[in-house]
Amino acid sequence: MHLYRKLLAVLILLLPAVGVPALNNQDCLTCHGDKTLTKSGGTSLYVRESVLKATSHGRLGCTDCHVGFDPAKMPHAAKIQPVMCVNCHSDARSRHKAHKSQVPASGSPAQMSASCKNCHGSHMRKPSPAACGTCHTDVFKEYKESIHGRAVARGVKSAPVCVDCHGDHPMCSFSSPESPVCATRVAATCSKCHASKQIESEFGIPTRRLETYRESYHGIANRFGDVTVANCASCHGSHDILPSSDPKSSVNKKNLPRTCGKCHAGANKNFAKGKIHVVISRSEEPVLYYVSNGFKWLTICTMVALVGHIGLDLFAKFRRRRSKR
Amino acid sequence: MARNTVVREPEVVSSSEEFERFSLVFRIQHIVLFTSCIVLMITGLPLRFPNTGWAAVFFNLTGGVAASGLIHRVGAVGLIGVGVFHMIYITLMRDGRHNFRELIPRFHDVKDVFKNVWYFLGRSKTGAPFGRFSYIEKFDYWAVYWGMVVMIASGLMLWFQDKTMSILPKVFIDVAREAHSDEALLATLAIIIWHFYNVHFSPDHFPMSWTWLTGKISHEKMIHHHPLEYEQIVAEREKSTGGNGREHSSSEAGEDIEVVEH
Repeated sequence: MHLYRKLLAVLILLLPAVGVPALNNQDCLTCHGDKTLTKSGGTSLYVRESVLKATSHGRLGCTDCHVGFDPAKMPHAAKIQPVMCVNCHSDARSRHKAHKSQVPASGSPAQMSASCKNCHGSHMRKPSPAACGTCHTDVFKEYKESIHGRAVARGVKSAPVCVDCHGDHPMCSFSSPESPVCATRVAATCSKCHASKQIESEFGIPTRRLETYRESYHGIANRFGDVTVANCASCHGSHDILPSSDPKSSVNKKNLPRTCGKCHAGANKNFAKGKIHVVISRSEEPVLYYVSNGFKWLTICTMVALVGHIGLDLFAKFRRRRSKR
Repeated sequence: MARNTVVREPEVVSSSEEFERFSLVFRIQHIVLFTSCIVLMITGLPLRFPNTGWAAVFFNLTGGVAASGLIHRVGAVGLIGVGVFHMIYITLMRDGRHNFRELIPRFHDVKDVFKNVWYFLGRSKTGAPFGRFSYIEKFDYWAVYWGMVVMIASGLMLWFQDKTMSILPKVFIDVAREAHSDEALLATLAIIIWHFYNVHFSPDHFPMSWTWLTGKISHEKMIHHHPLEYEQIVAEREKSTGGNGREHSSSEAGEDIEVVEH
C-alpha cells in the first residue's frame, strides 16, 4: 500500500515532463554549436562541447541549469531565466569565506549565482590564473614572471595554477590554518609536486627538498606548530618563485643574505656558503659526513664497551652469589 | 667494585665511622649539573627524534618548540654556570685541586681495567683495588668533561647562530648542530646506562648510593670500594696521632693486613 502510493506520487510528478518534448544537449548544440551564433550585441553564444564535457559539469544536461523557456518554441526567447548555481550549490557562501567580495554575505541567490562565473567561467572550468588575476592584478603580474607562471604559459599541464596551491574550497586567506598555503601546511602543499619523483625527473628539479627541510630545525619547529620559523615560501617566495639560478630569485646565492636577513639579523655572505637543504653524504657534505659518522661510531663503541663491562660485572656478581650458597 | 681487598685494621678508625667523600661544594655542583642536564634533555632530545610520538608529547608538555627552546636556554645557563664554577673549583680551591689530581687518568687505570675484567671472568681472586676514584668514576668524570666542552661550545654557536653565521660559513652551524645532537644522545646513553648502573642499579647500590646527598661513605663501603684511599687516610692519621714512639716496623704492619673476602 505504502509503495503503491509512492509510485503514484512519482508518476504525477513526472506528468509535466512527459507533456513536453525532452531536450538533450545535441538539440541545444544544433544552434549553440555554431561558432557564429551571437547575441544581438555581438556576444558569442557558441558552446564548445569539448570544453563543457571536460568540466565537472560535463555530465549535466544543458537544461538542468538553463531553464525558464518553452522548448516547444524554437528558437527560444532571447532572454531566459538566469542560471541559479545556488539551487544546487547551497553551501556556496560557507565555502568562499575569504572571497566575500565575490560571494557577498547578504546577497540574494540570484546575485550570488551571477558572481560564480567571475571565477568559474560559465561552464565551471578550473579557474584560470587570468580569472583570479582580474582582481588580484599585482599577484598575477608576479605569477606570470615566476617559473610556475611561465610554465603554464608554455602550456605545461602539470605546472601549478592559483588553485593548485591555494586550494579551491574552502577558499581562505593564507593566514587561516585551513588554507593549504598557511605556514604549517605549505610544505605539504609544495611537496605534492616537489616530492614527486615523476615531476622531479620530468623537469630536472632538485630532489629531496621536503625531506631535507623536515630534518632541518626550520622543518622540525614548523612541524610542531611554530609559525615563526621559515617555511618553503619564506625563502623561495610565493607568487614570484624563481629557480636559484635566476639572478632575480630570492634563493640566488647573491640574494641569500637579504633573504635570510629577513629573520636572521646581520646575515651576510656567509649565509650563502654552504647548502641550506643539507644532505649528509660524503660527496655533498664531507665535513658533516665525517662528524656525523665519527659520533655514530664513538657512540656505538662506547656503548658496547660500557654495556659489556656492566654485563661482566653482573655476571661476576651472580656467580659469586651462587658459589656462596 | 674491588671485592677482595687488603685492608689495615688499625685503632685510628672505628667501623661505625663515616668518611666524607664529597664536600658540600662538590655536591652542589653535582646537583646543579644533573638538574640542568635533565632540563636540557627533556627540552632537547625531542628535536633529535622529531618523528617519534614522545617528541610530540614532550613539546606539548613544555608548550611548544619555542617554549622548549626558552627552557633549554635556562638549563644551558645552569650547565655553563656549573662548568665555569668547576674551572674555578679545580684550580683555586683546595678541595677541587685535590679531587682533580685524583681524577687524572694514570697508567694504573688501564691496568685496573684488565685486572677487573680478569676478575669478572673468574680468572683471578681479586679485582683491582681502587684509590679515591676508580677508572669507572674517572670515565664518568671525563665523559662529562668532554661532553660539557662539546655541548657548551656547539650550544653557544647555535644559541647565537646569527652571530656565528656572520663570522663563519654555514657549514659550521651544520657541524655544531650535528655535534650537539649526537653528543646529546651519547651523553644521555652514557648517563642512563653507565652512571645509573654504577650508582643506582648495581646490586651494590640499589636503589641508589646516597653519597651524592649526604656526602658520606660508610666504613664498610670505603674498605670495599676505595681500599687504597682508606689505607692512605689511615696512614695519614697514624702519622699525625701515633707518630711519636709508636712506630710500625714493616713486619708489624704486615701482620695488620687482613684479606677481606666480600
